[in-house]
Amino acid sequence: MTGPSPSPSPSLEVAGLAYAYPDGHQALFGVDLTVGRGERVALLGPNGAGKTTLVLHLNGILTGGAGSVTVAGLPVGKKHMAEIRRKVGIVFQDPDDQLFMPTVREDVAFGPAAAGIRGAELEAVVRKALEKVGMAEFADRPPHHLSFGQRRRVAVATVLAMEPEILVLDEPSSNLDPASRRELADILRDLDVTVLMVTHDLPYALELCPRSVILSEGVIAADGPTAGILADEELMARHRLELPFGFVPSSVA
Amino acid sequence: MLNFPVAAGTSGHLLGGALAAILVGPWTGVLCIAVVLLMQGILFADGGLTALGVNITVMGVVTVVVSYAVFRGLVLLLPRTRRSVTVASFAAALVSVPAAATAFTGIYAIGGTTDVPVSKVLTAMVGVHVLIGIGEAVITMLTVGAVIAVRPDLVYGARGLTAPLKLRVDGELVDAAPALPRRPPGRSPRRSCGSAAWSPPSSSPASSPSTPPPAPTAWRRSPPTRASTPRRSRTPPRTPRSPTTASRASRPPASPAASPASSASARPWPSAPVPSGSSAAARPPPRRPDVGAGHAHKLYRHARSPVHELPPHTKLAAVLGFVVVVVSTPREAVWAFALYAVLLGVVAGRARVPAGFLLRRLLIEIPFVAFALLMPFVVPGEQTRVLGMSLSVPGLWGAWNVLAKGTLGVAASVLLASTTELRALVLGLQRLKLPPMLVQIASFMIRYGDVITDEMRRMSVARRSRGFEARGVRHWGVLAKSAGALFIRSYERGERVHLAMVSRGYDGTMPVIDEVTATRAQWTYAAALPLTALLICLLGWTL
Ligand SMILES: Nc1ncnc2c1ncn2[C@@H]1O[C@H](COP(=O)(O)OP(=O)(O)OP(=O)(O)O)[C@@H](O)[C@H]1O
Ligand SMILES: [Mg+2]
Repeated sequence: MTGPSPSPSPSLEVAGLAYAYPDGHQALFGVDLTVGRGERVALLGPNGAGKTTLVLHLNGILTGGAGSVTVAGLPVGKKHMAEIRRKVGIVFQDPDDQLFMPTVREDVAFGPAAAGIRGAELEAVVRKALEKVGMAEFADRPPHHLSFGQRRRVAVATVLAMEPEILVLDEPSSNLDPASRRELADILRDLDVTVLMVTHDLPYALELCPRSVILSEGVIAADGPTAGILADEELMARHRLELPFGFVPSSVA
Repeated sequence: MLNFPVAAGTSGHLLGGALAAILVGPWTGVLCIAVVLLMQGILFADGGLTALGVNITVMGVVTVVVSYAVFRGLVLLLPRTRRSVTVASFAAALVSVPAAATAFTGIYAIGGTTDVPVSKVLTAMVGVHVLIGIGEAVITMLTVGAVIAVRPDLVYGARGLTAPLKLRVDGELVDAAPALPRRPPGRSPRRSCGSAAWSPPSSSPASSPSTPPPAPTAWRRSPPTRASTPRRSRTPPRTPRSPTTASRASRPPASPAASPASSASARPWPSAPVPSGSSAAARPPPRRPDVGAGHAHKLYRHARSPVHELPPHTKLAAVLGFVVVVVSTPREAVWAFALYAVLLGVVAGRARVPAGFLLRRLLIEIPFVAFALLMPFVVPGEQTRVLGMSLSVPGLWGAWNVLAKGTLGVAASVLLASTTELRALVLGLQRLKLPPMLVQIASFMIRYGDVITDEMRRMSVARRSRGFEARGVRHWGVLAKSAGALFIRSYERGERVHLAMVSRGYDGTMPVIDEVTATRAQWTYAAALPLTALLICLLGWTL
């Protein structure tokens, strides 16, 4: 295996990525995106723009289209798949897809256990991850009996337990109550990892991510500092992005 | 003892065979049906554990293989259109059901313990099953039709019907080459544009104008995509997809083959940080799988009893042993069966399972009873008169045999199911070294059973709130379409779950998280049932 190159290769490099779903519907039309080490980037865009589709390419879950994805210098492909899956932690949009084990504890343990951790060490990793998201007392509950927001938090814990280098979150703040939303922001801010966050929550993007990109109709339509993008009314309107009523980005920044 | 009812139960399973083969392919099809039957055998005591082998052979292998062969053959012969696929699925289902009936009769002829003439059984079985086959064919055809309309790639044999990839360049669409065609697409793939010329240019930041430097200082609007235009589109954007022109072989994104089984051997896990303070508390707290786990199935009856507390695999082994012993007891030893019943009664008492509960659960057995009741009338041989009816003596013995052994087997399974959580059962099966694939499927059936039932209920609510009531054959179309939609939804959820699993390092085997263990005392306790039964059985043979 080739280790990561000594030069600080960007955490994520996407070039010319195009993809059509098996039913023939094409979702990505040539995406180019680079995210540097330690950056926090918001991925904005209207419904159906292809954000989730892009996210699924980042750890090689969707492949077979045109273009390339590189994670920390490793091309995403069969050869490095195991390593890439460990480096890229994805929190999916729908927690029901992410939580597939019979209990919360087993679900959080799945990733570390797949990497060979056992026994007390595994138990400790699980508890730490659950405590981080404030779900420790739910360890023995089945995921489908939790509320949506609780499931979302557990989903975040499942990924945190794997200690990824790049954390990719697909709409992490949706369906969270304001306090949980803030707590999640605190967790994310404290993590020393590269973060790519898909979100419709523009104030959240502004709060957490210095940089934003807009994905629209399957291509990157804009890329720059979040405050600048949110302030460009014409650009925002063109891509069906709207700030919440009364929210003025410049007043926050 | 190779009996199972010709009645409702059979046709219910058969419904799966052809459909499963066509939708998920022959191997997965057999596997799915095996799991369904296994779970039914254990949980609902449907056919008891004894008939399981026959069920799997007949329903799984025969229906799936026959229908798949017919289906593939027809798809190859007919022109490559959606209609052909639908027609082929009709024929496949139609043929597979009587084929299974014939196979059943074959097995019956070889191993049947009763003396019903084979030709009689064959006529009855095939006759009934041709009718069932027609119903099944209609439903299979409608369901496949509904699926193929939405996700042609999901239908095995209707693959490779997708359009070529495009790139959006300055707002216009341009053909792009697929990275690599996965499988040789069917017969006569018409590569529509031969556009292998395009390959992604090097992605160094300098040459790619839309790639920003890692830390952007000045914000700018990038052009919609790369400036280097590979090739202008010759076709108007988004030509309507024609199902007949296969151009790109596609594959569901989550095909299990994609899991990186080979590359996962080296696992450089960043030595997990165990906070030093927590090592004292690291001992996992005792787990009670039955509290709050919420996997209570209908047969489960929560209580605290020595039987409930036994580790699941010891109970499974005990029930299996018991059933084997019961089945091998000579049918003439009537008293032995009475003793078995007493044994089960003792177990039920220890497990605090009330008699009423147990008896009600035994109603599952009714199809068996129906089959058994026929035997005194159809089996030839010495006749006797009971209540003015002429009955055959071998037939009566045969009926007694089926009834006694069947009832005891079902009762044992019901006891197992009512004292063991579903989740624990699966762990037990795993511990007993059942093939991991079967265990995994079973455990996902449990996890997603609720989710899918929910999905089904929501769809039904949606149908009814728009004024639909299924009232007869005329509405089968709607129901089949719903079944197709449910299949797609479940399949796609399956795809997404698989994605989530591979994202966390799943490489084909479930990581070990909980180990079920049993002490010697627990094994001894569990073994009491089959060992006592064995003693009775031996007495039965010697006396
Ligand atoms: N499994 C699928 N099969 C076919 N088409 C799909 C599939 N998933 C998504 N699409 C289509 O691909 C396009 C991009 O979808 P995607 O889920 O990536 O959008 P998104 O940007 O995440 O939207 P949202 O903000 O609503 O989550 C949409 O037009 C969608 O209809
Ligand atoms: Mg999305």
